[in-house]
Amino acid sequence: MISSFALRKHAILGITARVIAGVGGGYASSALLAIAAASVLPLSRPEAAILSTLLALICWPVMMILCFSTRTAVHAWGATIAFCLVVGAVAILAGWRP
Amino acid sequence: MKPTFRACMAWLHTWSGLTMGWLLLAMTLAGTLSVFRPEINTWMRPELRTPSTVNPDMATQTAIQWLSIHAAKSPTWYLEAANARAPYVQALWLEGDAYQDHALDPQTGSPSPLRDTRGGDFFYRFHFELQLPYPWGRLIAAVAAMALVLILLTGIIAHKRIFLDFFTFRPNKGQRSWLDAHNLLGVAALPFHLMIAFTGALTLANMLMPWGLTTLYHQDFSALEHDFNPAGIERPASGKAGTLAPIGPVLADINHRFAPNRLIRLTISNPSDAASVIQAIAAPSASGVGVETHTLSYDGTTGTLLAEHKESRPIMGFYRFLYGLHVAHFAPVFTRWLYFLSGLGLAGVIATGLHLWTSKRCQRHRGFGFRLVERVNVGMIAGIPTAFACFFLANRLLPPSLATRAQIEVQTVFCVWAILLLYAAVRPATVAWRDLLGMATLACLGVALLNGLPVTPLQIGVGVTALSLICLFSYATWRMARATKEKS
Repeated sequence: MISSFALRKHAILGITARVIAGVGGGYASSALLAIAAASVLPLSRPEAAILSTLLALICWPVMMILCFSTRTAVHAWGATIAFCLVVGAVAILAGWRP
Repeated sequence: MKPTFRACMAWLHTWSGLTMGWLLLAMTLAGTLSVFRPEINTWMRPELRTPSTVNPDMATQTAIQWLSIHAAKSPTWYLEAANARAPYVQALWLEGDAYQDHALDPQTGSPSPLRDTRGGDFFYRFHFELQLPYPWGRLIAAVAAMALVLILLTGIIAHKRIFLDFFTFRPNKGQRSWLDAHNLLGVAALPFHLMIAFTGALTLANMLMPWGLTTLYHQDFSALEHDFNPAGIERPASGKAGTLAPIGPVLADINHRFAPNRLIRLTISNPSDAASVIQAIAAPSASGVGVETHTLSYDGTTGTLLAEHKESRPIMGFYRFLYGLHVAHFAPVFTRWLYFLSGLGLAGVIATGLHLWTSKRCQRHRGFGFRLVERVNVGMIAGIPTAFACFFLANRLLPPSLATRAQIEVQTVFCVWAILLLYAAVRPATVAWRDLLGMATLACLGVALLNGLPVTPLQIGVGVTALSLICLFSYATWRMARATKEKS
């Protein structure tokens, strides 16, 4: 009984971690992708703004799916943070400042 | 054991669907009705004469004459031009601190002959503002649209047999039949569902994902405005009084430049100032899908053309195309019905999905969560159509001259909805299903009766829709009544 409760608690913790990674981390990933793409794309201002927004809107659900398809919740967080770091670095290299 | 990818996606599909399903159902139904916003607007103003007698340019001219007498102090007038679908000018202007949004009679230019109603605009606004203050309604709607994209994608991954689902329906098998119906409705218009969800999120992208814009424009709103609307002229009021040039020649020039398209919206800023500007936007109907692809600006006092813009930038054009796909202003009548039916299909997918959540669990432990979902399902799935039908009833039954009748119409919808949710909460689920579906039938019957004998195309459209819904709801009522009898 105790062990099954502990197992359930563990599962709930894992799911909560994935939901936060997918919703919050996924949004952060998409926002940073929008910023990086807006800074990097060799287009005029309105064109780059729209294309970066479109990419970000596709990115969010994909990140959400990614967060629920990894083996553990830790992997989900690792993937999200790694993605944020990469696109964040691209944005900063391209001249964006938070 | 590690669950498979497909099982994970099925789990995500189930729970994101359950949490967002009710909101998405309300938005979907309101959006589906918005396909026929001009038609509903016209239906809800029976004082209007027949569309064939209305000349759009004459209607615009009389509207501007009326506005220059009664709304001269407003900093801007926004006018939606009359057309065959909605034979009157819809005008928005500022009076004191309050925006006035009224249909103007094409013969007199005054709003008074027409009953005060939100008309189809109620459904249109509710679809993305949820009757909540700015920006909360739009933000919630934008998140819901993104959630729908996610729910659709995970649903596609979870179901392996997309093609076979087309030909699979096994009735009277309980949960199996509901799953078949869910899959069949989902697969039948899948590209439409994906398109409408994604483009819906895109229309609110400036609320949801403004980071690309803010990175490039920072706080430079006038540059942003200019890049998105290159023919827009921003000119502050000069302080000197001025009168508008005769609008007839300006309209003639607009029509000439827009041909084969027609004028959809006219914005007149500082109408009683020497620095007034008239901006015209073309409807895309005859030449493409995208919205706001051709814009003109005129000097208000002289009527000379100041700027013209035809969209030729590829990505901006693509954005306008996606936007146009969502709002469907381009759509001829057949396409509009396809939009309407696919929208109803999406509502059906959501409703069957929500119902599946309970029917899968009815053999197992019935906790508080189960009972909550079961009850709210009844109040939403049967309650929203009934409440929306009551908007049509209130429009025709409230006295036309009643003060604040437009607000009372809207309040009717939410009162009915709340009462039905409450009723579903206190009655056993099967009884509540039977009663609420019965009410939905009666409400649709009321709409069909108030519609009168179907003579005009508008009355035929409303009549056929109401009759189809009566058939659907009365069949469902009959099934639920049988189920209630078997139980007792």
